[in-house]
Amino acid sequence: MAAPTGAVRRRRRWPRLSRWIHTWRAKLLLLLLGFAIVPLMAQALWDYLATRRAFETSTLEAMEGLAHAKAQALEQLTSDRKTQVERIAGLLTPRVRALATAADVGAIPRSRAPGELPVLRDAEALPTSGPAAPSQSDEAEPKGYSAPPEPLLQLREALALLLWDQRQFEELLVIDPRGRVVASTHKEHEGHDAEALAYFRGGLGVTYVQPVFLSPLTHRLTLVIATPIRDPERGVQGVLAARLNLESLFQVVTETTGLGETGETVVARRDGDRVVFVAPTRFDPGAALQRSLRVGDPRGRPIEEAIAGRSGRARAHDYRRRDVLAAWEQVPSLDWGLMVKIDRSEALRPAVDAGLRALALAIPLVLGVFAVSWLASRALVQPLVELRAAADRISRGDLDVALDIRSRDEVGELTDSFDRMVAAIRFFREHTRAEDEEPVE
Amino acid sequence: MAPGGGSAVGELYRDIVRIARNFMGPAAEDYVRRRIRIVQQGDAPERITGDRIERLAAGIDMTAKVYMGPFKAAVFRDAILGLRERYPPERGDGGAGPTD
Repeated sequence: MAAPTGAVRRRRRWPRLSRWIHTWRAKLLLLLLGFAIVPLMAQALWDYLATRRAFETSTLEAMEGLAHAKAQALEQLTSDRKTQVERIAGLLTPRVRALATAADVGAIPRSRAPGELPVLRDAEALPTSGPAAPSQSDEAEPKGYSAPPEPLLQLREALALLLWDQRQFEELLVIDPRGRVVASTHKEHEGHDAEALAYFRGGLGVTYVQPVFLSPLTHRLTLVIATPIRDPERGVQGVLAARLNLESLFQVVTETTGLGETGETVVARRDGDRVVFVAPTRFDPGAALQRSLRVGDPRGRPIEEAIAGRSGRARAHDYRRRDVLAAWEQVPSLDWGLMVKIDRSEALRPAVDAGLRALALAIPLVLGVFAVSWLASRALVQPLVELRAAADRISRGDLDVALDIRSRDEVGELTDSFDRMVAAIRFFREHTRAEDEEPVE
Repeated sequence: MAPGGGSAVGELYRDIVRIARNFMGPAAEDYVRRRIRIVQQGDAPERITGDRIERLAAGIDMTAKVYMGPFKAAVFRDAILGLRERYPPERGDGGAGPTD
């Protein structure tokens, strides 16, 4: 015998279900459920997706606004610091001129043998507590000077006062046109050679901003703004270099207002084939100059776009491989890219919560609809079931059937017809029998 | 149509059969003829008059229960009684006669 097919096997395994599924009651139940629940669910799903889209769009707009505001704040901060440095350079011009004049008449040695000079990088052991108040008594003289001349003392005093007053800088240095540090708020740096340093070379022509770098000795991040000290009569007399206190800059970056629990700001710059983070992030305080992404890495795409000068907003994956909603913008004066982002799961949480609440309401509703559909299908089909049972009894010769169906619909009409049929059968059977029993004349 | 006696002969019969068809189907005419014959003591059923309606209804009330449920039998009886408005009994005829 041939093996039963899959459908036959299923019918054998679930005979009652198979029978039930072909009944009018099952069809009606499914029809009622379909009409009641499917549109409801479709509408709810549509609303849920629309809400998610709305939340995503509004979050991206918020991120874009924050990115723009932060980029503008960093830009403004840098611009203010550059202006401050230029103003300080202007204030120092008479003192630098006096120092140069004194050097011209021989009071100060003009230069030292190149071989004897240490490089500035070797002397980066900056005090971590910030600059001290100016004091004449405890000054240690740099090498090469037998006694500090009056113009140098005045320049040092001016630098110290300005540094004390500003608090925005960690150190102020005056470098002569040949690259020698002639005065500094940290006197141990005086006399060092800065000729090879980028900020000296850049600062000779225009105001120059050296990118953030990490001091290998102090382990502190620093940024230098250098500007030429111009004498209207004698031209460029040197370079004023200011080491910026990065606290306020980083404060803008690490500020998390409007970023919820998972939002953060990332700033980075391009360094060769890497995109290097230049400031701490919310979830990685040690990210500055320590964390980087390879150029072309999808996780670094938004920040690369920002560094390249393009702004935008999109759903992306961040350096933590999180699904985020991000917006990015360039900070041109620092050559940085800035990205503000928030985890997508957090941004959409209100929509998800609303969806869950709707689901919690929908479950009892669906159960209610199911119960009503069940009762309705039963009420609709029950007369048919009774009629079928009555017809079944009549077919077996039992005419003693009584239907108690009082309905004015089509089923009621069918019942009436059935009753008429039963009455006629009873009548004919009774009288045929009676006639059969009458004696033949 | 002339209500009452002879002029409505045949017409009342047809109305009774029409009503009976709603309850007895194809057996209606046989059933009605049997009931009327009893009411009229063998007279032609087509000649039934309005004064026999109540007796006919009483007979239907008793016998129809054999063929249908009591509720329907009562409805059948009332429908027959409803013909009295259209075919009122002739004066002086109390409708006396045998019943089932």
